[in-house]
Amino acid sequence: MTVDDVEFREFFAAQYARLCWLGLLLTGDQAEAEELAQEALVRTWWRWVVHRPNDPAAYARKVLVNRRRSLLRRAGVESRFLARTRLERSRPPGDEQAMVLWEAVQGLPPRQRAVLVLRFHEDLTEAEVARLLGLPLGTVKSLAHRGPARLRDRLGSPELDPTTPRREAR
Amino acid sequence: MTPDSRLEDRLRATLHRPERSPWPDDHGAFDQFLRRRTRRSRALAARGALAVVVALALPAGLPRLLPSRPVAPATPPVTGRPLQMPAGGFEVLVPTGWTDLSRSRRVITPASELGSGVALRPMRRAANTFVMLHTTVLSPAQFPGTEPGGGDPDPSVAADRATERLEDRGGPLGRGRRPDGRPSVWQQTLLGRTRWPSTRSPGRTTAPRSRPVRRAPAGGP
Repeated sequence: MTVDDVEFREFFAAQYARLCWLGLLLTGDQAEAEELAQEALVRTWWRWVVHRPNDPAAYARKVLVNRRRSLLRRAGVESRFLARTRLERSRPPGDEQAMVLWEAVQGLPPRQRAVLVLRFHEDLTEAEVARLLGLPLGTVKSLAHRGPARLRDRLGSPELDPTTPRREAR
Repeated sequence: MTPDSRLEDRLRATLHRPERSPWPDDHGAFDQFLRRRTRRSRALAARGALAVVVALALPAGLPRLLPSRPVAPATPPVTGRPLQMPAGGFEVLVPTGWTDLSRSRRVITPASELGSGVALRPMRRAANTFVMLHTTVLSPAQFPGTEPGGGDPDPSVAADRATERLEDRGGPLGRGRRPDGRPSVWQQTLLGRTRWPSTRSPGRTTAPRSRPVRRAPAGGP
């Protein structure tokens, strides 16, 4: 194992779980998240071999987000159908309120969800989110404004309000 | 605390990765990464090798993919002896296997209407099988684009046009190729009328600056 391999292994150990979590926030699916993280790390390794990026973690995050976008583009209809029909979604441990909020975030459209995740999980500025997603700054601002508003609406609805007793599944 | 900031705080807390995240730093993930990296390396190497093979094989294989036989022209080239008709202002190639009837008898009748021309027929005589070529002189009013009462058009320009605009009045069989694509069998008189930049009387020589119309009948029996 070369020095680079040792160094990359340390990088892998530090970033894998973080990338998986980011993938889970973006996709809502654990297996898909692991796939995205692995792909992002393989591409980062190739870049590392040719020319090591200044910030490998940011590079890997960018690869993951872009990969997610291209997969969405490639199979938009299919993924939307699967997202609608998927019964078992991965849920983070937490109280009921957190779960309700998590469900609400997962119910957002992909772009709105990506903006919220990058803003509130990765703590990126709106300009950085716009660069990363390849969107105009105005669009990101609009999505960042409309996302929480939509969440508020959904959290206020009886369906997602944790205090409202849920209807039993048939 | 505003509702907006409360929601943002809740979002941050919810999206934050908990301690018991579903991905502990296990070694299985790194092994999986190594396998995936190897697969990707092999795929890239194969793609590169394929590109090299294609680049090397293309110059050698491309000529084989193209049709080896030259495509036959739509109208076969006509070989034969040229027959000049100075009075008619044209020259025609008499195809091999054909002869002009003027050698035996004149068939251009009536001369006042048709002017000078030539009739060709296959040497293997067939009943009523011949092609007649002739020129005729039109009045200036019949030239396209000529203003009524204007003079003759420029002879050189009109002569060029004349070489390109042979009016075929012989029907579809007179074009040298039948509608089904086969060469015409010359069983129909081809009556061509060329616009000519002169108002001279029929039978007289054409304008000196104009070029003779050169026509070669296409096809054969």
